[in-house]
Amino acid sequence: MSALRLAMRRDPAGSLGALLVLLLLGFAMLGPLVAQHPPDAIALARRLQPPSALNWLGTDELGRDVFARLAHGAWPSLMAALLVVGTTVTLGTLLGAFSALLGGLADAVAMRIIDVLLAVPALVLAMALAAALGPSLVNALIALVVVRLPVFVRLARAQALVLRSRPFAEFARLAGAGRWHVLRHHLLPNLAGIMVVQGLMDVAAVILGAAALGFIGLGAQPPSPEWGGLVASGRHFMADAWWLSLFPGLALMLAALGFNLLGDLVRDVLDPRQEPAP
Amino acid sequence: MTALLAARDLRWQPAGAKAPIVDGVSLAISPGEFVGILGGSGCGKTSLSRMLAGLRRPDAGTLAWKGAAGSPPRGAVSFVFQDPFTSLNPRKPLWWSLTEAAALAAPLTAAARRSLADELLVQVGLPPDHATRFPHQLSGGQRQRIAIGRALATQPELLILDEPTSALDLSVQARILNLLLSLQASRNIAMVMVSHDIAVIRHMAHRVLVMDAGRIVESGEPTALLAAPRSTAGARLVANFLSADI
Repeated sequence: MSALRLAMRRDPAGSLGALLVLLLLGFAMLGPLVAQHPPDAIALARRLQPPSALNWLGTDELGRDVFARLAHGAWPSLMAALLVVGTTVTLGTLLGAFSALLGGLADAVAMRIIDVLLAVPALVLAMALAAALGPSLVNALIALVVVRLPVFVRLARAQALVLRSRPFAEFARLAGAGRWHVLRHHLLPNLAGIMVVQGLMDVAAVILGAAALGFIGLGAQPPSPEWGGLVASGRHFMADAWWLSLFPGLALMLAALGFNLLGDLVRDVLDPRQEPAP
Repeated sequence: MTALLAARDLRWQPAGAKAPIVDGVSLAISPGEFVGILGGSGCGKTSLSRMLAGLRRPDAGTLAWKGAAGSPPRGAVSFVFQDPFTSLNPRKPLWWSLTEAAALAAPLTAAARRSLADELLVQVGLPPDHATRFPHQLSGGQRQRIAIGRALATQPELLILDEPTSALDLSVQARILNLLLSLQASRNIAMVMVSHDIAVIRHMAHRVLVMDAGRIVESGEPTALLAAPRSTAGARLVANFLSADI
């Protein structure tokens, strides 16, 4: 806790990020409870109404309440992004660190596979995978994991290669430590900070990626109020109904900003070097 | 007397290098002996020390431990690295780093590890309450003491030190060197110290080996080297030392 307090004092921007993320999570949990309308209630008589006391953030082209849709879409949007990021960070760290530790042919083969995955444009690959698996949010998330994973494997491997040759890891090997010991005690604890930070910075990109897949019919399916989908559907009415894209866009922007700033704070908390000398 | 560690015709040339970094080095280290390896930058002394410790596999040549061909048994040889700032895992408390090698050699309970850590801290002149600290909370000299304590945890018979004081300021250097001398006297450990500093080697070593271009070009007592160097590299080291001394 002292590390957290110290990091928050040293990094006000990180504290702001933590606050934003807490607010977003609070909105995701409490928003649906305070919404005045169900998210899918169609009221064509009130279509494309601007923000008012009756509809706080206006209505969409079917007269559905934008606030209600935004609130009900918050939890699945944030959780889906965190699930993808959690999976890519965990798998990427383990695969990258193992690859660096094994070296030789296993490392070379793994890196060529990663090179192939990186060579294909991410969205095209995600589209191909999502189309092959079938249109659904879960399949879109699987596609996003596959697309984002190579970046994390590369990062983890590069860091692990540096750590592997640090004297503390060399000493462990000299003392008879096996690969598992070096991985568990010397590589993973020192990789954790940078990987978590990179993962948090990826949350917004994943939300947008899920939105892109949803937009072409390969992600969350209508009438699901997932945030990316709300931005995409609102773009047809930008000139007349700015609130349709603005509020989901603002929520996405705040999520991106919050998670990015939170990433810095988490790095400081995870790094024991931030503690003052006694 | 059988040599503790004997190396015969060690050779190592990294891929892409035009010449071997270590080129046919043979040497023997006796029990309790303090051997200094002197040489300028890039002469191959660090590479040689890493091969002696088993941290680098030679392209050619053999090692023998107490007369038997092959590498030393686990824990018999330990190593102290040059840079105290990267030699300890920043995420582990000092008690963990100090006792890692001992715990790898034989299963130890947490209490036994803490007790061993306290003992090692006292041996290297640090208070036991440092055990729960992290490396960033120590000075460079304190970190190097921890690295020395860590190297002693398995009670090695040979300790190899790669320029252990070059990253430290002068007053701290003297304290670390005196610590090493007292440890050697109390434990009778053989030590091999790599250095480019003839003054350090003169102070510490029973015997000095001068390296140049991957080869040992001179061997003898440090005082003899200072009085009458027999190689060009030795003469250069002595000349640099004398000019710095003036």
